Amino acid sequence: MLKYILLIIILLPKDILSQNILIKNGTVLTVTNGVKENTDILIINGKIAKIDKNLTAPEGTRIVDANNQYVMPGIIDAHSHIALDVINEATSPVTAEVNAGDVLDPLDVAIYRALAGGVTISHAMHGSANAIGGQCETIKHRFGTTNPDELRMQGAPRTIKFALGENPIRTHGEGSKISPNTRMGVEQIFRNAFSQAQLYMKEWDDYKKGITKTSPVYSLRNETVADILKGDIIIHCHSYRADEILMLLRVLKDFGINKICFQHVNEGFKVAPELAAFGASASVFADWWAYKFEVYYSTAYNAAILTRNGVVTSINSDSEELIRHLYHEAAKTQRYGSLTDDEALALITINPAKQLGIDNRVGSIEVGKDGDIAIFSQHPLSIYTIPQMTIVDGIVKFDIKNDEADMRIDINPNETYSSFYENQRHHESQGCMHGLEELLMEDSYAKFMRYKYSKNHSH
Amino acid sequence: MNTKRFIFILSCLVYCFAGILTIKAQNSDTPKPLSNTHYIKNCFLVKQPGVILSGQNIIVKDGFISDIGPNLKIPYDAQILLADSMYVYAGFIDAYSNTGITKPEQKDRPRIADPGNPPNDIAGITPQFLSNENYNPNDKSVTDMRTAGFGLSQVAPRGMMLPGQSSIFLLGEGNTDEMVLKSGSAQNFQFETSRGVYPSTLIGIMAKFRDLYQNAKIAGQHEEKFLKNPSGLARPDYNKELKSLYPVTTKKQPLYIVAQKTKDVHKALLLKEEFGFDLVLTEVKQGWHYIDKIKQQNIPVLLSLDLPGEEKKSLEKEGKDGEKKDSIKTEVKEIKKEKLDPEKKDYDAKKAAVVKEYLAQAANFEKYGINFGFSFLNSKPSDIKKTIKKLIENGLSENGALAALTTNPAKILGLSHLLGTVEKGKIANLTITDKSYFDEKSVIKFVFVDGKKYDYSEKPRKQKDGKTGHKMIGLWSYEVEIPGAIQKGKINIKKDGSDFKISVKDDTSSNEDVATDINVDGSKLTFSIMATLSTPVKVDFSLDFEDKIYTGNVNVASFGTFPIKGSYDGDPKLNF
Amino acid sequence: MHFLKIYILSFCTLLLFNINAQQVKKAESGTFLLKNGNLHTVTSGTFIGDLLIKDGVIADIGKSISVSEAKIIDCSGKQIYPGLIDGGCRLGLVEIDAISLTNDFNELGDFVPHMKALTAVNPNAVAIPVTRVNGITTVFAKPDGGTFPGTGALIHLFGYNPDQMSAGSERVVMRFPSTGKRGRWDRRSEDDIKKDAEKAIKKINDIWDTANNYMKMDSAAKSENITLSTNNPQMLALLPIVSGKEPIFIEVNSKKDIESAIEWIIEKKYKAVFTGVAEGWRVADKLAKNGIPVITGPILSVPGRDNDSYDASYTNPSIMMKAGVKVAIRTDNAENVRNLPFNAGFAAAYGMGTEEALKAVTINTAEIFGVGDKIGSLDKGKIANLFICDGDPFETKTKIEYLFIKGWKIPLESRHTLLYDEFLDRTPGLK
Repeated sequence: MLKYILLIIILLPKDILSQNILIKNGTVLTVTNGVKENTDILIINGKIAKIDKNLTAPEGTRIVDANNQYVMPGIIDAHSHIALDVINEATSPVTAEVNAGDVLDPLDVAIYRALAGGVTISHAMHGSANAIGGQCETIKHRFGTTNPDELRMQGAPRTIKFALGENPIRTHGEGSKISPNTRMGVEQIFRNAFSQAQLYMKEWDDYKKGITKTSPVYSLRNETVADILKGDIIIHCHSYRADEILMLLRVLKDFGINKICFQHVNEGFKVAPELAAFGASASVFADWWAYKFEVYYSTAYNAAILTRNGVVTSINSDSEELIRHLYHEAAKTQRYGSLTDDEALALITINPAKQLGIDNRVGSIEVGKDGDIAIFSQHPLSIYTIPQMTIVDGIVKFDIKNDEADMRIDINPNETYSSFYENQRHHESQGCMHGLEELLMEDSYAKFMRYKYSKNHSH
Repeated sequence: MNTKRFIFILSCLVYCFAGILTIKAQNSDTPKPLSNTHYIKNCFLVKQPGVILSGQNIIVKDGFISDIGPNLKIPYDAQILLADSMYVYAGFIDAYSNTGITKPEQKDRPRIADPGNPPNDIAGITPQFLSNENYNPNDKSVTDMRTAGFGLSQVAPRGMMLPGQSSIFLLGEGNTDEMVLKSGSAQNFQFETSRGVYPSTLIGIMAKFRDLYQNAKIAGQHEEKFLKNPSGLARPDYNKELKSLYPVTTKKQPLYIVAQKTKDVHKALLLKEEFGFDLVLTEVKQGWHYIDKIKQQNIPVLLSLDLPGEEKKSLEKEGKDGEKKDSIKTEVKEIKKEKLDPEKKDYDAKKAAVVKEYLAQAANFEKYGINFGFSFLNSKPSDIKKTIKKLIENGLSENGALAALTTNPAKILGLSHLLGTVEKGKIANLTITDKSYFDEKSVIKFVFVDGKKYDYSEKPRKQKDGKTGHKMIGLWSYEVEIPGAIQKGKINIKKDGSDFKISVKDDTSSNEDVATDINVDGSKLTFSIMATLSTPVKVDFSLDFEDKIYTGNVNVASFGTFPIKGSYDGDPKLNF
Repeated sequence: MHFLKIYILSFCTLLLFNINAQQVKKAESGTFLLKNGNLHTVTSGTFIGDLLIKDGVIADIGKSISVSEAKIIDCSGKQIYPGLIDGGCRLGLVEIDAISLTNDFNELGDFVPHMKALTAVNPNAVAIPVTRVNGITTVFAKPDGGTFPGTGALIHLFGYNPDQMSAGSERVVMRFPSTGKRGRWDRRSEDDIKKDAEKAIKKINDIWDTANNYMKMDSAAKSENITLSTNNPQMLALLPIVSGKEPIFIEVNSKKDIESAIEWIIEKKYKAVFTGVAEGWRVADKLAKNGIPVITGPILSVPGRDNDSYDASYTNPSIMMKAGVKVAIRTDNAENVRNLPFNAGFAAAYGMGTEEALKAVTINTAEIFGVGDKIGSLDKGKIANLFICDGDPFETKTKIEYLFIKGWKIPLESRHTLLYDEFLDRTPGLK
């Protein structure tokens, strides 16, 4: 254990421990403890040390004047694919062993653009091609480093991506002609994987106890699924339809698993009482719908209905575009469902923190929590607000007064000038089914044409 | 006999014969060597980086350096090489490349019923494979490396994730087995995936590697246990992949990881941290972010000589556009415009700084005292000297460069006792230049490999191809890479009088599309076809021929442009 | 007895429920007097006053209007705005994006300017009510895909057939050959991209040369009272442009392409509107100098280049506007055209200001489509497309309270509100 802690300290980027900052006279939206006018926040060594009026700071502390500005906790995106080099290992319906944490991309400019929207933490997820996809990584937006490890939020619980419905069916049943080809098939993938992992655990137990002498075959896949069964990994499940959500709840109950956050969950509103009773949480789009059949019967009031039914709900981006204005996405719940300011802000702060198991460290402005702060020119739920400054671990990572246009860290030395990308509609650009073109278009141009013209949405 | 088949076989024979002729031609024109003894007289001897001795003589006998000194008796059977004012270096060492490995035939991949569970060879997992099996000592790439001063290569097989094991070859002519210095010298790993089957991505590769590594360890330990005392144990399964990986887990064999960009280097180091194998980083282009870690852990590094280019293109264009005045005009206009654009200026400045980082990497590694050599996965042998000069201009010392070509790779390969310096008793791999190798105008005059002399003092004249387009005539295979699939077929190029006639046929269809808009410019060929899909679609081909292969692009109406490549398949066919 | 009571009660509830289910809310017509609202006319300032809707048009607007027979809506403390107009989207042409059989914006062929969007707009698309309840009354539904994907139509978001929906403006769309990359999978070299674009420009030039010849033939034939006997609907579709009657809508985005398109249009002398114009900010002066109006958007989009500032898309409309370009805003979306006010809101926040941003989704758009005299502002005689809300129409939390399209009072109901009503407090709940 001591060794582990030491390791963590060694791994911490050096500047974290040295950063102090005092934010003066802001309107502080604590999220968990109301609004405090003209209040200061003192961050020492990257942690919130004091919240009060007229604070003084040790010498050398950077002072930020937030007079007439709004100070809120750093925004947390519970579903994103930025800062990743690979999204899907789409070759098998179960790929629990793969890990998005292996392909973190600290060079991705999207991290800076997210910071410029007040987002300090995102959940870098595997895609939704497989019923059991890969493990995900909760990252802090410590933009500026070239070392992937420095993005990791050390100590954040492990998470894994599951997926229901059209995406795994399309990928495997339609694409590769292997099960699942229906929502019935998807259920059995889970049941089989969990049962397999139970057997696997027993095999190793027997070996370790000396009951059997020959070492079983090692399987990183079964190891990972076993960890889910043990409760060491939080499931984040891509889902849309009410029936499939209920299906997974039944499966999880049968295997004694209780850590589950449903992602997208466009029809979550239909089964909000069931979700609340199970203790499942929901991470939804503010208003995306109709890009494919399973989201045709959606409502932008989803987050409001879920919230009102007692489900811990967040609003996510799943997109390098939306992640830049999650504060605006959260505000949509005021148009669609009249949520209060605190309720709306919770959707992008403390609630996603709960879903990622990091609410004891981030998600609100409280003494002892990480110094992750976003400062806005006006109330963050207003359309007219402009993010002014974003702070991660007490370090200013975005400052509108000191903002260069070209923020690339890694520059292609062989490119004569930057490429312009024709506007890719945001659904397509980067999302759950990213990297899946390969499986969807196998043999011919004809199929390829259909794909191009069908403008397939990815989520 | 089927006529087509006959023609095909005939053409194959012609090619084989032609090949033999060229190889033999060099030898049968000159008399047989009289002995295996050479006397290199009165040279500047660069014993090792930083140690140059003048007026030295070297006796090479039976493949070894048998003596060195200012006053040596000339053996009776010696052939004398008058090396006045010449420089003699230890033969250069290429510690990682695909030299001598002919490109494998593109085989049609069988349809994989379950892409999540492909056979190991299709998944790119062939650690049992030895590069010896595909090594051809008479391949052009071997000659090219030798001409560039190299006497030794550690050759990795081509392939995907775990392509197989390297062997170390002396770069002489002869048969493969004779040239092997060490077989199975290293295991190789690269972040290359087989499309569409597991592992198809980087995350898949990382997971699969971990899985294989653990199981290799388990299987190896089990087998050892079983051999000692089989009682109560299951008989070990024979698994060639795991068996081949076991020596890596016991540090009996190093693992070379191709890590070109910064994130690749990170992943390689991550795996080393997890498993503790002996790592050699190879083909490193952008490794400076991890220089501290590399130094601390004393990890050997092979730096890529494939460096970012500098305005190569504009030079080419000038030459080509000489005839076409119009295009020159527009070019000039554009350059002017771009020069005025402050954004472009900033962009260029930033890029220049980055290019500088790439070029200065070797110098920085030298300053840090990291043991590094070079690898040659993506570089042209004839450009090596030019590239090394560039590294020297960016801070690398000449001694550092020489060390990276000789002593360092010898050490990395564990062959310092045999190679890397010019010393008595070492293998007679020598590179002899007319001036210091690092002099801009220096020319490699002789290369000794394994005691055998190769004379490059007279440069063979470059054979210019006759008429443009001449070498394009024939039947060519093609492969178009569209996302997720590879389309294959044949292109038939004929000449009818002065006109080209081209037809294209996809392997899956019986239709033959006749090309229009045919245009030949030097080695470049462009033409178009109307492909019959659900509607007719115009497909534009743009091919660049080099020898018996070509590469290029296919543009399919508005759907995109896809890479195409192919190779010579034989004489043009009358009909497909 | 008690039992019976419950029985009767539940019977009644059931009955009520059935009645409710059968009661479809329909649009109401008639004369409406909006009293004491804060009237944002867009063209003649903002003032508190009354507005009379009669026979589908704004019959009167003023400080105080009195009429004998009108349904009166008290708008005290409320804001009244002209209906918002989306300058380019696929609303009505797509039902479900991923299901290609429900996509009607992309006909096969690269040169199909005669494909008419108005034909394919589904008046009952589920997304139409979802869109209009956010105050969007009119959109330009446009084909998309190849170089000449077809002719788009400006439509009102209420009506049951093309005649009822048409807002009287149809425009031919052309995609200017792009030197940008089509996506991350586009692996063409810079040279190849350039060559492809040059080839494509040659192709469109050939098409327009043919169109010019066609016009000459057509007028020559007319002067001799002959009907031109070629069956050439494509050329017929281009006739209004070569004859200078209507502008060509040119989709163009990168800086280099915009510059080429400007040169091209100067040479051709056609009227033109540029659409997309993602990098308009890089060449705003040139656009202004040549008087080319622009329909830009989505504003909520990722900048086109990795080395662009994070807010390049947000500030684009304001930079063009300030340089003197007439700017309209679009979503270029299908199911979420409802986000038009938020696209305008971001433009407003990032330099454009609310007033100008409002023009960019009302009067500017109307004028660009040649219907500035019919829609786009609260002026007497204009079509009664307007909405009443409780605040700034761009502000996210603002709620729309009344909506009028062509004088019809439209129920503020959509699939999204209906599902909300049904599921907020689901019965039965868990048991």
